[in-house]
Amino acid sequence: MNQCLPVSDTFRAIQTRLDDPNLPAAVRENVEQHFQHLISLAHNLKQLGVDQEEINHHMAEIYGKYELALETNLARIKDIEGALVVTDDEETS
Amino acid sequence: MTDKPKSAEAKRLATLKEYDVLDTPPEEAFDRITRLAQSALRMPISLISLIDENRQWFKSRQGLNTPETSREVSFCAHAIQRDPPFLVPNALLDERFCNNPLVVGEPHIRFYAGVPLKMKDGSNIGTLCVIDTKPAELTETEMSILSDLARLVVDELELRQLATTDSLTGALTRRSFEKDLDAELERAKRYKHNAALILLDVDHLAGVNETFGHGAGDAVLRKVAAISKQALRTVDVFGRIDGDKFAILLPETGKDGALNVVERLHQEIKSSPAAQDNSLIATTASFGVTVIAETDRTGHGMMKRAGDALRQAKSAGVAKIIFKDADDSLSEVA
Repeated sequence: MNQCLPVSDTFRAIQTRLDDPNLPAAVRENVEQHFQHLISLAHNLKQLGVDQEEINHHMAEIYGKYELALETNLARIKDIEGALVVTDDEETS
Repeated sequence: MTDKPKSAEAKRLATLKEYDVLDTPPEEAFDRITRLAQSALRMPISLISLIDENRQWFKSRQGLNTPETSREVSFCAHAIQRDPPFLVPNALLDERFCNNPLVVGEPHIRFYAGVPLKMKDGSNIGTLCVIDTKPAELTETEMSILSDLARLVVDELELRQLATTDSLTGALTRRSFEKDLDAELERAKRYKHNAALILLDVDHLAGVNETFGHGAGDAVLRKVAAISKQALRTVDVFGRIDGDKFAILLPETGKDGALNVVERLHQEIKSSPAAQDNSLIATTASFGVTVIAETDRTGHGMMKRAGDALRQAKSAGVAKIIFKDADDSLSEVA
């Protein structure tokens, strides 16, 4: 489906994000889903007759807000994944 | 705290609660989506509606002033009962809605199209919907756009939850659990309610990891989490506070109620081995339990007492239950 669309800066930005090998698995899954859903939306907006420039604008705006939330949460997610270590004699509080 | 499996609706409400989104301020990330639905589909009203126990609350709304309505009159409450999009071309001709206050009065709904917000566990917690004040139809492409936008809403909600939920077990992270614990303690003090805290430590998890591999350890953790969640009420709070430790907050519960829950978890975990690679891995858990004390101002005191009890349980052997009372006295329960 994405071959029908001009490669926008937004999709390149998402691909760059997915190319990061340090992206936690759960986050990667969410970004991949978001990418697919944006591609599908762009395709359907085009089918509806929405102007390509306007589509690119919508993609950039939606991903822009998503990326802000991603940045906010990413550090915390990495902290969480790094902190859960199993030992038999850890302090509880 | 019931032996019966949670009903589908209780599970759905528990999932909604886990996303911790009800009554939060508007966010541009969601407003952009409803604005696009409104403009692309040429509809005067577009909403992200979350269906709570007795109300629908709007995380984002375009063209509607009210922040919530009763669930009784909600079109979206019908939409979440099924997975496909829910369409009402003309509410006046639909016997389910022709006398609905939102149809006969403001905002005079005629057309409704809603796509359920289906979360990872399969629960439909709400919808993305568009509404018109005159009868209408949507083309296949327009319905696809509404579905795409609903999926983007789900992506946004799940992204936010990743930072508050342990991805392996679905339990709250320690930070999120402690936040809920503090809030519940404040509520318990204000209304003079009881509250109990259970710390659960999976026995010999490090040994399981060493002997069978980390996949087996993960399977054990998932099993223990599933058993715990199944045994708890919607109002209870469940968190993973360390690699092999979980915490359970039981609002409005005293010592006896807490020990009943612990005893049930103790037996269920012991009798339910985790399956991994055609093997069954038996496990047990140790428990430290406490209840709210007069002097508790935050969750720290409860966490410390339950932690002391848990350490005592671990040093006494495996599969032990120790209760530490508000006056710091320790007693072995099992």
